[in-house]
Amino acid sequence: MSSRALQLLEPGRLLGGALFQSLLAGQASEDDGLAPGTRLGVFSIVRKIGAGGMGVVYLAERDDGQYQQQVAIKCVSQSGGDSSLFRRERQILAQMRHPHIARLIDGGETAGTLWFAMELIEGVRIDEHAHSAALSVAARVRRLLEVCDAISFAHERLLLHRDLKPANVLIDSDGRVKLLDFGIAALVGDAEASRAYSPAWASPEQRAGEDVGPASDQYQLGLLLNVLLRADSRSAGPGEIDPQLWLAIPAARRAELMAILLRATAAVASDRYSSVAAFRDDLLAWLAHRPVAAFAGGWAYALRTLLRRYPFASSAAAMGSLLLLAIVVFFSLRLKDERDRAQAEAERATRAAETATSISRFLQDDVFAFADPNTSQDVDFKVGALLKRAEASLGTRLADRPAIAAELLITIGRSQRGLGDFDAAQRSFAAAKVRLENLADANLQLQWHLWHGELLLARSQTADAIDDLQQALAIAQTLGETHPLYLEAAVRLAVARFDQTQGAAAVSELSALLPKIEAALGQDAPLTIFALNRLAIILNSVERVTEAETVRSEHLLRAERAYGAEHSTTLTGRLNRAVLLRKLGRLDEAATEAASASAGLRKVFGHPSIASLHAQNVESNILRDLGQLDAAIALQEQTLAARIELLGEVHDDVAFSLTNLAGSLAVQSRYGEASVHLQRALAIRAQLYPADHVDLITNLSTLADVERLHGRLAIAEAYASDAVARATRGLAADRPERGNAWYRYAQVLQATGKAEAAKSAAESARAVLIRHYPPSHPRIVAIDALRRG
Amino acid sequence: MGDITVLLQRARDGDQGAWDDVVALIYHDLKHIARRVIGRSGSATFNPTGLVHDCYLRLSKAGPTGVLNRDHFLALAARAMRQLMLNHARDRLAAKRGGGAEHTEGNEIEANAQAEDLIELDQALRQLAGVDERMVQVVECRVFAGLSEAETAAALEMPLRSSQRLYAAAREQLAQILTDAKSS
Repeated sequence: MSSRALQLLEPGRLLGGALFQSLLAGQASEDDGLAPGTRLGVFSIVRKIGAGGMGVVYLAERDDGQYQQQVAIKCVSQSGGDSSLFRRERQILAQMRHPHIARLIDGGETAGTLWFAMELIEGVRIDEHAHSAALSVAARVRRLLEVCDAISFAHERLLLHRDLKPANVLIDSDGRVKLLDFGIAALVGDAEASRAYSPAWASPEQRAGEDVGPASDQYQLGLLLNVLLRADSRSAGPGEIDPQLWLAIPAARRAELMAILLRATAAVASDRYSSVAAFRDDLLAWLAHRPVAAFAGGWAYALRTLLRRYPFASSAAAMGSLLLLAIVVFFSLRLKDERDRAQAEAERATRAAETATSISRFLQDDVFAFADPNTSQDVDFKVGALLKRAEASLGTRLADRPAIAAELLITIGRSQRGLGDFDAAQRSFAAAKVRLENLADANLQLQWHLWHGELLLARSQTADAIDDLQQALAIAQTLGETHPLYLEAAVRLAVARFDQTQGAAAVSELSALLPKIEAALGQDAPLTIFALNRLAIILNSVERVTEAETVRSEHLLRAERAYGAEHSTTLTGRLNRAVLLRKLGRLDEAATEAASASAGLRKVFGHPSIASLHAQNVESNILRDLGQLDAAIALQEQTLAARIELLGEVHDDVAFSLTNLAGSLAVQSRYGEASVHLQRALAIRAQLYPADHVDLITNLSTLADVERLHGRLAIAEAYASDAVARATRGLAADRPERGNAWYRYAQVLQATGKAEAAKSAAESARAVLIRHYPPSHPRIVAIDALRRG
Repeated sequence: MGDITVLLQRARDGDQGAWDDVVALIYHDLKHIARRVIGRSGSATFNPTGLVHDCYLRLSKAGPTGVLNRDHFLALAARAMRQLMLNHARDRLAAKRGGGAEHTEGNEIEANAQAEDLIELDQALRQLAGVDERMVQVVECRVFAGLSEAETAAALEMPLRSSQRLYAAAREQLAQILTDAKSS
């Protein structure tokens, strides 16, 4: 006892403590109470049974001669307020019947005192119950699920509890959860808001005096869960959310639970789960050892889930704070673990290095994977701002640990690249390079060159990229040809070389690498799957469609095994397979594959999203080939409108939509409309790309073709010759697009009666295209017809 | 209730009735301010020292300027706070004994425990007053008003080093008194 009294001398102990709080709340000293026998409505007071932040609770009896009933009556002194509103809401509450909600029986206002007669529940507080019954963690979570059920039930009826805390959640004598005081905080009104709820348990929006919604109840459920998980049951307030104070839970499970909890108690309501039901579902998933939305597949998954609910740019704030949370949680959990475990000095040093690696891996595998447009297409660009902040704080935080800082900067740079913020990525890589200068760390040098090369590749600085990748490969050579980083570098170098030349050499390079990657990393390793994906793409680009389809099928098999059927990698692969099948004329299969990919992508990314619209576009092309032109056009128009809505007019995807729509219209001989769409696409691409970009050239060629068919030959010739000029200037000699430009030009020339020029153009077309198509290919056949005149 | 400065003067001269009025007045203000503070920002961020300063500002505005010395007021406020909290602790424990098995609310358990501790500490402080009244004053400033070392020194009109020394000595003495009380 005496040592406890002495503890009051510690700074803040007394004034920050419960006694002072209760003094300020003025509960005990102001309690005059109602005398036994006092009548409130049809009830008469028996005795006081408790006092809470909102008022005094009495046991009361109904004694109107009809029947006897005991109730709990809560009295709240109240000045002012709208009593008609009070009556209406009271009626709604009284109609709410749920096994876990203590029913509101009656209520009224007597002499400035609001009173509520509620079902009398004799029970113990949920946290005390959990402690005295020594419930397991799972059992505690299950009890909270019952609370969630009741809250969800109420939310569906547009009612909020507003004052969830252990004192309002009892376990009755039959072991059932019972929620007290449902909605009473709202009935008491806003004038006394600071008294109406319990400040310590209030959500941020309640404290700020803002409008509260279901998310506020969710927040309080989160606090309740935290209290239930704590090993020490005696703590009175909600306390800090600190997993170290919880019952023993395996680290990974604990981290998941923490993620759920942090999501539910996010400071900003929009960062929380979309509903209490979603919160409950995630807890259920946790109980069942299924991936939880707030954590599974790493934070990337959580971010993507959030993104799904906020399909576009509006999610900046929500995602930003979630990402921050993710990082904070990860760091704090990990560092605490390390501190606990690291005993010896030497061990500590090793641990520190491991910690840094893990942190970096976290950013790489999770944040980065998320930011990579290959896996997540509807990325929110404002995450970039967050990364910039991380980048800035890194400079000060890790000033004396250049190696860790460099590694993190490289990772941040990769994420920025993934987000398409190339300049920021470049800055991060530059900052990393400065830190690497005085370090003789070959591994980091290797990583720098590897990922910087990837960045340059994305910026179409292919030659420089190849430079970097070759350096990376040279360093990696010392690690041996089976080292993962060697293989990473080799794969990317092959891809880079293809980008430079479009040469089929990349096919054999990648084909040769694949068995090595499989042997070193496994059949289903991410790099194996990445390489297969690129190989399929390259084979398609060089028109080796049958082979591409074989590789694509293999890719799908592995991706599904490694990531699951619902993963974006698998789904995007499936969509690409549909494209290949369409090219191969296997239209029914293509339609099936596209439909299944489309459904999956909608699930993962939401609809409309970039990915789902891409799928829709593929579907419409297949419809067109199937001869269902009207349906195809309708779907294409829908896609176009959705893309403009989502992305704005000046976007690559909008231009593609316009081109596709024009193609369908042209099949229906609606050339005038097709031409308008193509010109619009051209205008968009002219804003996006340099003058001799391949997409601009193809667009011009197509436009020439449509104008020719429309009979406006002079215009057609102008477009076609423009396309040829740009292709000659900007495209490698063996690019198929260059051949196609010549082919369209030849067609126009023939139509205008310039036979010799047409023949010569056809020769030029054939020279290019014969490298890509067999002589029996319809296009070559058509070209040969032109050559003959 | 009279003018605060007059009350304070009389309280300093030993008028118990005036002292009770001061306590009541401060209590009223503390509650007023606390409601506002808690309502605005939640209990987590609220600052009891700020409360005392706020209270002083309000009171000093109410009275004629210059009469009330701020530093001295803080020392008095600290004593008033001690009295207040002690009264509250006693009420609370009396209610607990009288009320039987009430179903208790959030902070109740902890508050009751602190109430018991505070009564024990108060008794020890009474004993300490017999040794050195200045030690008690330092403890009041530090513990009950949440004043810093510098503020405490200013409030009691003594050098900083003295207040530090006295506080350390008070802690030792109190530890001794409490240990003796336990073993006896």
